[in-house]
Amino acid sequence: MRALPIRAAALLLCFLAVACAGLLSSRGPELQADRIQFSHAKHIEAEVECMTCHYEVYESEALGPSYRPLEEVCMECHFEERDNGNCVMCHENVQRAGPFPPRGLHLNLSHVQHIERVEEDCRVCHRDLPEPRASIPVVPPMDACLSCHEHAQDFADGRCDRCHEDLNRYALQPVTRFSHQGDWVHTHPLSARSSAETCARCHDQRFCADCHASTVAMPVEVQWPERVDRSFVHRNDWISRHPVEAEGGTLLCQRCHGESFCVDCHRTQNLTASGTDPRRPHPRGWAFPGSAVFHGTEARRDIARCAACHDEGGNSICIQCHRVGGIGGNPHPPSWLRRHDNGEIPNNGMCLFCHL
Amino acid sequence: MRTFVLTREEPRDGQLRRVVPTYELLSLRAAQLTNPVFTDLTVIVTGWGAIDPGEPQIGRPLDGDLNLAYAEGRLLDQRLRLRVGRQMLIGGSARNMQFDGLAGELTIWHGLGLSVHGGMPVTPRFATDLGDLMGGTRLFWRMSSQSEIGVSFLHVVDEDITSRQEVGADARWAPLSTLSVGGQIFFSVLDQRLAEGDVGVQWQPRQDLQVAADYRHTAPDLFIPASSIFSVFSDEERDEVGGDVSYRPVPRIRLGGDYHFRLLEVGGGHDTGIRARVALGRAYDTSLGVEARYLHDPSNGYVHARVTASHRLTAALAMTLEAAAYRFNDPINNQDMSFTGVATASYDFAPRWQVLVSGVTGVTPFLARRFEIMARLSYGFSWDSSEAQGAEAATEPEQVEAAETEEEQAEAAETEEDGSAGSEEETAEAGSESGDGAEGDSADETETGAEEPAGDGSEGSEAGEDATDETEPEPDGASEGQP
Repeated sequence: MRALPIRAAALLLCFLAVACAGLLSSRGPELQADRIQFSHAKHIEAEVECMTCHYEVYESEALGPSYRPLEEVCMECHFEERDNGNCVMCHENVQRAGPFPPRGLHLNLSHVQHIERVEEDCRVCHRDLPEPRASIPVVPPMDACLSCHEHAQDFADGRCDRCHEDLNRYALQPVTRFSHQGDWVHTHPLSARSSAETCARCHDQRFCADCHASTVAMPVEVQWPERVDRSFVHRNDWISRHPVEAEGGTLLCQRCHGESFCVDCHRTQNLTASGTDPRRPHPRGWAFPGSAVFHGTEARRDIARCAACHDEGGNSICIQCHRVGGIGGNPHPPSWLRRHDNGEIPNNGMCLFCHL
Repeated sequence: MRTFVLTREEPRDGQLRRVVPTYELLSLRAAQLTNPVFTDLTVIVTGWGAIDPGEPQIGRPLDGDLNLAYAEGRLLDQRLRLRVGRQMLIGGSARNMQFDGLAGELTIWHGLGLSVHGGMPVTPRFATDLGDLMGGTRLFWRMSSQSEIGVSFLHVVDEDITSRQEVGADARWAPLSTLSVGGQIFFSVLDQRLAEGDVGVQWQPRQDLQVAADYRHTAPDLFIPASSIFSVFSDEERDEVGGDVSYRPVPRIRLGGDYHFRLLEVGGGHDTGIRARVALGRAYDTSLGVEARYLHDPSNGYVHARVTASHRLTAALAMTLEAAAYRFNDPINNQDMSFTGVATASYDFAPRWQVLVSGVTGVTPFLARRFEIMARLSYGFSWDSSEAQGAEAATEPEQVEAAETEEEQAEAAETEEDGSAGSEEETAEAGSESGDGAEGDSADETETGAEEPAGDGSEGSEAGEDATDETEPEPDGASEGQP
């Protein structure tokens, strides 16, 4: 434990370094990227057709990385400015002039199909265009899409994947009904159990199986250690806190893990009743009635934990004492007889372990 | 496909031993396979193999399993969907069950439908089997993608004994675009008790605020098969009620908090936490997060603090750091503190290829010095047979996408989001633009200029910020492929 403060301090320094790197990359006038002072309004006023500059759109069946015209297209008209060295007419920071990185591509969109339908009137979708002093996204707002009946129906049906490649990157909006915000890892069962088909429109079963298949090679936390933004159940020091987590709550171990999951590990660690390791799971007084940690009380409130190690069918340790006539007495809870009668015994092999 | 090589200390035969297992994970999806019977025929296979040469062995030195292996197709004008093989069964009384068998879903009339499933439950790793045979059905009415109600039944048999028999009802309803309500209830027929019940509501009063509340009831002992001797000892019940708030005042900042009160048979407990995450950099290429959690149950509890950071150094190189500390109310193994730190670095050294190295160190109640290293190599390919067959195939779409892992999908999305050269085409264009000098652009588009609507259309022009801020690129990889 003495190494803890040193390690914590070292890691804290690393975080600060990362934070500084992020801040530095976003600030400082000398690092300010170049921007183009371009007015769509002036060009429209000059009756320049959209396709004069954005001619690639005519043949675009999938969204390309960029439809911004190359500089040579601008020079077809503005060559005099270039010849006169008047770069600042367009460039905000000439020293940083250079190629713009391609933008994010997360929509399935064919300009070709849309151009035909809007009869080459780009303004049906691109109602407002960016201007130098106005914050208007170049991308049309989604209500422009939804003004079309077909896409309105897509929206209503939740067929997001017809247009969107990935919904998880958005802010809380657009739609609460598909929101994955908040403590989603823990709350998604409520949605998934009654809307599995809706989930399936974006996620095939491979996505579910990464966490939920009981045959996976390793926990999802090990597979994706870089996903520090995810609230994975077993992240960090799960081994130490698993007895605490298993104690309460409704996210039960038994939802995912079978009965012998625990015993395999505990046996290899010598953490069994017969083991010599001081970390064995049962405290002193476990076997004695009246003890504060009597096993009967514990079993009543968390029998699944007992079963995790001791469920061995007819050889289970409980049977030795709790069979009919045994020193352990009747183990059934008070409500048992209200739900079961003796007629079940001959028909249930499990009952016959004790009711000989 | 992904290859993992790990080195870590594991307790074996009561002693800590350093082991170096190697895993190979395969994920394959072949879609839109042309055939005379089914439409949308899809085959999915995911599985893994492992080599663990360490001694002594916990399991086998050579190991492996199939997670999924099924074929799915549609018939009757897409009204009947059939799926056969190893699959997940999600929803209704089955909740979430992996099984080998057949599942069918028939849409009868206007969203009214019936699903039927049957087969053998898959035996979990490190666990006894869940039964020999299972079968069930769910009758549903799917009013829309957001609203659906259903009643279901599940029957599991283990060694000629009914080990689980439940009926259930579930519903989800979205009366408004900002409000959804859901719930489900499962009743154990064998034990004549409520096995599980949940109800929850989710509301977004504002674009940047989400409030959720939920209540859960669970009977833990009913997760034990009725064929087990341990099913006769207890009738415990647990309840949990609480809520969650998410707030995003500006696109770069996410805040959240949750609280749940736990009602256990031995008393009450509290589970609460707060979290914050901020994105830095013009391209949101740095992300910092802090989180605190307090858990208190009658028997024990802890206070937890966690800080995370992720940063994309270049288009191909990214790193993350994570530190977590726990302070337990009552010592565990005579220690009341636990500390772990994780660092990762990933490098996309070729299209669709990535190598990631992670290291874990820590001081925990069970390991005085924890030290693990993992290397992960991700690689894959996709093949579109329509391209291979030219125009003829283009008229009859047949697409085979093989071994495209979630990792690659996610990484492709990440690189695009970061404005990096995520594809060969983008790289080529960037190069040509460089030769041509600066490319024209509007003043409102930043370097990463988000090329898509900013969420709901009504908000798209209200943000009043640059386009980047309206759609956070999530540089740390929030994407469909990854969990």
